[in-house]
Amino acid sequence: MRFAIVLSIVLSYQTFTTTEQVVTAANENRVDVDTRDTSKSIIRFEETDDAISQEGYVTLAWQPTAATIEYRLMGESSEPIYRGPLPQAFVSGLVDGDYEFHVHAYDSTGVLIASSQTPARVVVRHWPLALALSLFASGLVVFLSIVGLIILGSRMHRGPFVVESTVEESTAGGTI
Amino acid sequence: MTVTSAVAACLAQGTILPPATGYLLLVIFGVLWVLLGVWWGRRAKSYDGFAVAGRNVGLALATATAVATWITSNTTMLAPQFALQLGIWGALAYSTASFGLFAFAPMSGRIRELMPHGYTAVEFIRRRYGPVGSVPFLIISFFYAMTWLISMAMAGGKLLNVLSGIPYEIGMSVVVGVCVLYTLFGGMYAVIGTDFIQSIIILLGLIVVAVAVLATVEVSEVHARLASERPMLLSIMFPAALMALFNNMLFGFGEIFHSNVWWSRAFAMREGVGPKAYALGGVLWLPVPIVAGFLGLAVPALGIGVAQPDTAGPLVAASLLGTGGAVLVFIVVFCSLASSIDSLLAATSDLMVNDVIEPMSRRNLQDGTKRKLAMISIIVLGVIAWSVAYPNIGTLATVLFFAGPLVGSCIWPIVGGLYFRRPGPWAAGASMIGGSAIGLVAYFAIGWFVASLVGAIVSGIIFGALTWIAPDRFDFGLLSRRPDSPTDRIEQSPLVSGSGAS
Repeated sequence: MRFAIVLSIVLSYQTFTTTEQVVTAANENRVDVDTRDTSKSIIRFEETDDAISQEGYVTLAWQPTAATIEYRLMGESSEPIYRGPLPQAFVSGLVDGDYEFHVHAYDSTGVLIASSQTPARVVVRHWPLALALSLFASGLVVFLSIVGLIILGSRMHRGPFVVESTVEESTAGGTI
Repeated sequence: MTVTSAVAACLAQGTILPPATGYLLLVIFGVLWVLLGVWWGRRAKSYDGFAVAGRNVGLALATATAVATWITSNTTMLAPQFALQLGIWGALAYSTASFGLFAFAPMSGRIRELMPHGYTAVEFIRRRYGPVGSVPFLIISFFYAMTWLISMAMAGGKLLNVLSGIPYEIGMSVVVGVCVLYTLFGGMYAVIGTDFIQSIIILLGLIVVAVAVLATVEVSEVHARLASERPMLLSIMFPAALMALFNNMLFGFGEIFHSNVWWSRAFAMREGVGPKAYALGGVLWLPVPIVAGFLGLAVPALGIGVAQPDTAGPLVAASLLGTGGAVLVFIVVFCSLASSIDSLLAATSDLMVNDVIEPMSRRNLQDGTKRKLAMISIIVLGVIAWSVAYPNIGTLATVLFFAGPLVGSCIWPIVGGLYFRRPGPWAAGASMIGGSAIGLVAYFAIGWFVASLVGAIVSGIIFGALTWIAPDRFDFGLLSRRPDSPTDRIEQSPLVSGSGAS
């Protein structure tokens, strides 16, 4: 697991980032332990308001706690959605619905040392299917048009290209 | 997965590989690339040799350079991220970037045929459409090239730091420095030669990772875990993924069609080689993001906690393969970075010499002078990339996504301009500007997954409408003349339209 820890910490640097990652990238340094919350044994999510996702994925971040070796993010299932050392988790593949997440922190001996009191709430409302299908169809039309244009152009100009000396004579390259 | 004791020992020091191993690999491959660059650079005696490898690159090298250049560190990191975010559609969406290579295959033959003495994509646009088309195209080309170059430099520093604990500043500096050195000595000869070796290393590395994953986890298990825990990733009616499919494909089209990285290779390939090389390159590249995407989909079944989606691929690969995996990932990453950075340095230096310095000088530059200017340009580009990457400002990398609608809006002017006489300068210029602007609006209003698509749609409508309203009659024969002929010298002036309308 430590193997994954180090990778996660350093690979939080990224070349290609999404909007969500911009937020998390700004919080890279939060891997430093914040001792303020340890006495309370309460973990606070960065945002507990209803975060709306139209893509079915979300990055949840919470304030780190001291002496934590592993965080476990829990949803509706009894199995943790995320187990790892970083105070954030990427959750994806959610269908439309309202979700609540809790996080628990464990020390090196496996003892529960902190938990969230207020859950992180996420509302998933996917983009309207009609919009998605219309953009999909538009993309298909653009794709087929471009490919068609290339095929048409290639067929028109099949054969050796002959350089003509004047504009008037320059039909060897093909015209439309 | 358990971690080997050797890796565990390294982890105790906060690294995956011992820094000494990282430095050793860096020195070995850095010295190897520079020596090969010097070796191959002996052939680059003229500017033609330096910029376009003597226009005589054969099929094997041409195919390898297409594959290696298109596999960047983004491919190995973003494809798993796409899969983890957008499911099966996401993995397929990333693999559609290979369609750009397929589509560019016939275009490369046409480019080579039309411009037997050409050097850059901007040169084509300038001579085809004049300054009305070439100014926005030059801006888009430089924006894309520089953001890609800087993001690759940053990725180099960060990834080497992840894998071996080498400080970001040192890793980034070495990656940029090595690429600048061997490109400086060998020009396109060195770039294509090293790409050949790098493509073999990358493909072998990915095969090993794919075998390791399939040996560890059953496809049925991956499916079962996804169905129970992340059902939307398997859904065929996943709205965001449906929107992303053609967006990503058109982003790839735009990148390849407009970028001088690909045009310079088309000029460098022996006559008749380009179409075969790009088609073969596409075939070889196609499975790479599918394999990488499967790593992302396998995350739930492997029980790996992902804090950030872009870490999924390297996490899975390194977790499955232990120390050997870390070494393999290090080498593959270094090769991926080098094969992209060297291509960008060479291709962008061509832009600077042929499309900025020479037109501005308003005189014919001698072969030796252009060669020297190309070398100076490579150094300048390297210094700029290094300077911007050094402060390690993470949000800079996100700027590369802005390039999606910009390059998407270049598709129509390039395809139309290559094959048809009627598209004119205003159709080209307006479609690039209009497509970019509306595409950027879509980027912020909806998301990254529609920006290129919207840019391409708007650009296509403007391009088609203006071509219909104000058709041109371009003479393709003008493109085949030598750039240093008196006629073309006049056409290359930014003040004179290069459109061959009679």
